[in-house]
Amino acid sequence: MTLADLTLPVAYSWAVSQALVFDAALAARLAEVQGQHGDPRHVPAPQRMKDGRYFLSADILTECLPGGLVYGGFSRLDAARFNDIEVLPLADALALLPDRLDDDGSDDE
Amino acid sequence: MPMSPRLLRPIASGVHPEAAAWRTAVVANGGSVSSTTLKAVAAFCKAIDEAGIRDRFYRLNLFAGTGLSACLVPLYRGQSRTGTQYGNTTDTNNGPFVSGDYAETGASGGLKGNASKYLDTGLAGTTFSAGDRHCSAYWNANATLTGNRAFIGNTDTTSTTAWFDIHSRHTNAGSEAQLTQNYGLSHTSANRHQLAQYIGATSAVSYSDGGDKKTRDAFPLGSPTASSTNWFVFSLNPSLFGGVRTDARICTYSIGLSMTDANALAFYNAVHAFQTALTRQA
Repeated sequence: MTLADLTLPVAYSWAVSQALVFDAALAARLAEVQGQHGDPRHVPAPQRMKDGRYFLSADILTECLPGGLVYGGFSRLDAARFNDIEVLPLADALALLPDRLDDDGSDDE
Repeated sequence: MPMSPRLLRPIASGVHPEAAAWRTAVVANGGSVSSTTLKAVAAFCKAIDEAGIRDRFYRLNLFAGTGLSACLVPLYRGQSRTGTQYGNTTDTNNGPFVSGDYAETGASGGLKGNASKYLDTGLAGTTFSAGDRHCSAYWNANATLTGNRAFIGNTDTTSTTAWFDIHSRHTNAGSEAQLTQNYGLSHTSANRHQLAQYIGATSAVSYSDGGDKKTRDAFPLGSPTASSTNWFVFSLNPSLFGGVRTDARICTYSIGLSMTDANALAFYNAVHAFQTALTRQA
């Protein structure tokens, strides 16, 4: 499934467990649009996964319509590229994040 | 007969001035504040004042008010309302958090992380000296906590001695303060609040729910230093650690100067009373 397959609005209860996954080029375009048209108080912040792709929590889609936190930027995105944005379970995306704190016995009891 | 001066005196609003200022800031940011919440915030401010610890706080957010725009407005941004203000006017929302992530009251009260979103306070770590600073987090204990995730943190990308955070331990097994990259002070109970602080160049203390005091008085692998990067909430340093952002529901955070044992307990009592007033019972 891709973003192009979704009809907005989407329910938060569904979107909260999903991720929007895309390549570096789209991540760069997102940053460009945010810089030009976005609200600096609310920043889409894609995370880079180990495979080089990026993801955003899909619940951002609950804020993409008029009145939403990120409507200003979202409305400027090229909808023709929504086919390039995969919708995957958020847990799968999180599993591909690099770097975790290791609870390695640094406790000081 | 002249009018009594008492009749000419303006009626006091009865609202603590810092609570009133916060409400004004919330409205300016697009949110609102109920009378119940305002009363609870005012009570919190009064308790902090009466404990004599207001100047310990450079930044504090109770995550309260109606709507996400309200909860991103910190109550305190400096040691006093009229003194220097630090950090961003609102906690910069990276992710971003959406309206569905926030509930002001009830068993699910607080701002819910998802291991990806975080807040940037805009408050630089070097605002404080390495030997006099605190951070704290109050989280909703009704939910399962994933282990080894940062509630609040500050570090840079190069120094192992600048690392300072509070994070969850093993799943639902308490929390830990990370002191440089090499040491920690942990609390193993199912707590809901941790305050960690440096009280000297090589002295650190941590409290869980206002008590359970733990100390460290030596850092042989390197003394703590302050980082020039910002303090983050729900994360340690988002540009360095991608996988340590918490999925906890956080109810309050604070950053500032160190406190005495009595101060820390007074702070916990005030912040816990606030959560109770908002029926979070976190």
